Order: sequence, then structure tokens, then C-alpha cells
Amino acid sequence: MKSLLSANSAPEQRKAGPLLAIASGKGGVGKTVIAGALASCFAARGERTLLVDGDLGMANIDVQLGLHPRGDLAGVMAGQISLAEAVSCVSGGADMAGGFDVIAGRSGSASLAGLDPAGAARLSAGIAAASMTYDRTLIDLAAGADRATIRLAAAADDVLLVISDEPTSLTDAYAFVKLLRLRDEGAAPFVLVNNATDEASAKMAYTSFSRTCESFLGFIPPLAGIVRRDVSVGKAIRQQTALNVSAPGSPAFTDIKAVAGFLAVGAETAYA
Amino acid sequence: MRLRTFNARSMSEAMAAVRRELGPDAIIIATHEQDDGAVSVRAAAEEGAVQPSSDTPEAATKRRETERAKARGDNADGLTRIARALAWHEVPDSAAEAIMEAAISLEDGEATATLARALDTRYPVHPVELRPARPLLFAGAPGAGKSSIIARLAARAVAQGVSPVLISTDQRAGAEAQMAAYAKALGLSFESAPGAHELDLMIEQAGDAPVLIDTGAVNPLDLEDLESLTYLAATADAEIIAVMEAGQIPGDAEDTAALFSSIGAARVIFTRLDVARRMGALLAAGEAGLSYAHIAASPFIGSGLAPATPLRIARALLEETVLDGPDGEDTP
Repeated sequence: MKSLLSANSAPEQRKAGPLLAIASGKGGVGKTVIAGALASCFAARGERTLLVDGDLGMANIDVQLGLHPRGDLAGVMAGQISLAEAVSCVSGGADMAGGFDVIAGRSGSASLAGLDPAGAARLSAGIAAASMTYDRTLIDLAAGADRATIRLAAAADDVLLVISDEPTSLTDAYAFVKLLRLRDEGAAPFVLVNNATDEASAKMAYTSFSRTCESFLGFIPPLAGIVRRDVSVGKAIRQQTALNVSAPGSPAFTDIKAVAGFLAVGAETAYA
Repeated sequence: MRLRTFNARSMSEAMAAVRRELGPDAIIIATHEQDDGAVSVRAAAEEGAVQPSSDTPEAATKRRETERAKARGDNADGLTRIARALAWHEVPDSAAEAIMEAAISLEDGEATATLARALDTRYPVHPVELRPARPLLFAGAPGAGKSSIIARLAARAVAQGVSPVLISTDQRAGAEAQMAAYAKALGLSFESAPGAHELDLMIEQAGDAPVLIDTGAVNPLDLEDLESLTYLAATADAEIIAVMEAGQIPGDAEDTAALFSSIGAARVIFTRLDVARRMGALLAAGEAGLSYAHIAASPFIGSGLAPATPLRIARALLEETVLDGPDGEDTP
């Protein structure tokens, strides 16, 4: 399918703010892998980086990265430990070159959706406070668009929306953006097309999504990048290793590095 | 959002399917043409919880008429019919209560006559005279229909052998030209007055001829607008006549009428009864203390201007349509 988006309507390029929420609308599009790999890329760029698992109910960053967290977000929400005490280290943590900090969730704990508004406000305030000692904080949001997730996304400086080329991903991502903009009308999330079989289908997925946003919401979401479909991603998940460790030279990780570059410095990368 | 992919033999066939399935405002988000000319079109549409009806205009009109007749109590009798009509028209509570009280004491079996008598006890009627004692200055919100009301009053006067002078203080592009065209068609003199001083001079020159003054639209909720209007009327020693649209919501109409009344307007002319169904605004103006001068159904100059008699207002509230009376008919 050919692109209907003319070149002159391409959105102005900008870089992402330091507190970046990663969302998807639909589950299973590879959001958590992207979040983990992006965190390692920002760290490799020399940014002091924190990755927060914002999915309290189905948290799995720790599982994916093979961590044994000392504490987690659920413990923080229960008032048992402080946010600082919940921090785990990946590759030596944020104070080591290439390492970053993680605040894990706890799978099976009370879900974010079950948080009352005061609890959700406390959580976003806590994450914002924790982020102040970092150059970059990534929040791996839950799939879906429930109130607490939207609230967390709205509290972030920017949102990176991970989509795939499936129509259901497009409609769910659209629903997420629509709800986000009901809370924050200036929000213009970056779009990442993940698991792309080829460039044409990825571009079409982005064009379809941006065209929908332009028509119904009146804004064009900028494209942050395309990540190719790659067998090493599944392998890394099964081995519970970070992608940058298990497959640093893989096409997917190369693409994610480019996305991190785009988000960190704005227009200097090749994506348009 | 609904998202669908349509496969068809040609683009026009695909587009027809998109519009049929997703509605006229669906957007195309991607298209793909195959080598054999077949096309694949992906389209999206937003939908709210409320779905538009697929009625034809005729069916929609008929259904609404049936609903209206039922809700307005067209098939009820006497006081019940009046009570239901007042509620349907969203007549302000204070007015509805007082009118019902009067209607009960005056009941003579026939709803329209009873309501007319009840309205007569509550609201004064005072149509615009052929030869008013003072210049008349017409004031209203944008689009209320001031110019067309002036043209109709002028046409009525001409038909009775009176030649009023038309003056416009409306400085908007095209406003003067419109009044000038009306005046020319009626063989009357027209003057444009950019300010209070010019207006004063022109009124003096008019001598004994009646003077009808068109003004730029005002926002009656804006105090500055009201002040400049008051100043203009005071300089010209003119009577302010409010021109209001029948289709306003009653609460706003009452506010507007009260503000016009506060700057000295005593009479109101209602326009656009043809595009209004609920007439609560009509009685809201009376509740604010204005007298009824005229009502005009359609915006067309030729369709006349009926004096706002209690019987006409009663008919507007109880019956299907309001017809303009011919020019000057039953003018006192």
C-alpha cells in the first residue's frame, strides 16, 4: 500500500523529554523488550538511566532482564520500602558505564488499574521524584488505556508509542492516544513501529496511524523509528538476557540504538 | 474508531463501499492497487455512542412532527393541551404558572382562545405605529433580522402612503449597501450615519417623516455594546426596539430581553419563527417586561410582519405553523 502522507506534512522533529513513558495500547507488540533495550542504549550514550516497570499487575521487566529485585514498586505503593530502596541494578547500575537502574513491578500484585486516584497520583509523583537524579527515566507502561496508565503517561514529558503493522495494534494505539489527549491535549507521542517484516509495511503502518491521528485528533505523531523483525529478540526473551548482551549486533538492536539516538538528540538521525 | 479494509474491482467501487459501510466522513488511511486493477482500501471512521438516524428527510420530518404533536399535547383538550404546550415550548416556570392560573379562571373550552385570553392578561401588545412619535432605533444581536424588519416596516408604511426615512449606523461591509437597496426598491431616501452627530443631523433633516434607524449588531450581554447603543438612542431621542430571534433558548432570551429593557427598550419584535419549534423565548421576553410589537415567521421581505397579538402568540404555541399576516393587517 502506498503512503498517502505527503512529504510536506511531516511533523517537525524534536527530541524526547527526560521522563519518557513507553506505551502500546495493544499488548504483545514488544513494548518491554523495546524499553529494556532503549534503557541500555541511553546508558551507552552516557545518560544516567532509570527504567521503571509501570505495569503493576503484569510486571515482567525483571523476568525479561533476569533480575532478582531487592524490592519493587508494589512494596513502595504498600509503604513498605522507599522508591530508592526498590532500585535494582543492570550491568552494574546507573553509576557504571553502560549500566542502568531498574525499579521492578511485581507480577500478580494489585494492578495499577485498581489504584485509587490518590494512589495513582502518589505513584506518578514518586516516579517523577525518583527521575530527578537521572538524565533519563523510562516508564514501561501497562498495555491498555485504563485511567491509571493514562495518568502515568500524562505525567511523563513524552510518550513513545510502540505499534506493529497489525490493524488491531493501530486501533488500540489510537484509543490510547485519544484518551491521553483528553487528559493532556498537547500530547504528541512518538511512534515506533516494531516487529516490521519490511520497510514498506512498517511505513504503511505508521502512515495509517498518523493519518488517523491527523484526521480525527488534529495532530501528526512523529515517527521515532522502525525496528525490524528479528529472531534474536525471541531468543533473548527465552534466555532472560538483555538484547544488548545476547545480540548486540542484531538488526533489532541496531534499529533500537538508532531510535535511542533519535529520541536523545532529535533530528540528527536518518528517519523522516 | 472503526477500521476496515475493503477489496473491490475498482477505486470507485471501493470508495462507495467505504461510504456505505463507514459513513460519509470516513477517511482513507491507505490504498493498494493490484496489477489486475483490483484495489484494496483501508478506511477508518470515528463513532460516538449516538448513531445518526438513516431516515430520509421526509421520514425524519414526519417522525418529528408525530413526536411533537404527541409531546405538545395536540390531541388533548382545553387546559391540558395548554399545560402540555407550555411545558413542551420550555416556557419559563414563572410564566407557565401565571398563564395556567389565568387560563383556569378564563377557560371557555377552546384551547387557543383560552390561551390567548390568558396571554392578554399577562403581556402588553404594542405594534409599531405607522407614524411613530419618535425615531425608532432597532437593536439586536448579529443575525437577529434588524434590517429585514426595517424593510418590512418601511414597505408597510409605503403601502399606506407614508414615506419613512431610513438611516443606518451599521458600518459593516455590505450593511449600508443592503439598506440602500431596500430603500431604492421602495423609493425611499436612505442615509448612512457613521456617528451620533451625523445621526442627529439626518433626523433633523427628515422633518416630519418617520425615521427608522438600523444599527450595527450588538451583543446584549456586553455592557460596552449596550452603552454605545444607549448613547446613540439618547442623542437621537429615539425609541429602542429590540429585535430577537424566536429560537433562542428561553433563559438566554429572558437575560437578553431584561438587558434591552434596562437600556430603555419597551417593545420587542420576534423574528425567525419559521426556524424555531420551541417558542419559550417568546414568552421569556414578556416575562422581562417587554411589550410585543410584531412577529415575523420567515426572513423574506415580502412575507410581511404580523402584529404580535395574543391570538397569534397562542397559535404559535398551540398550532402547527405560524403564518405571517399580510402587511398592515389588523394593525390598530
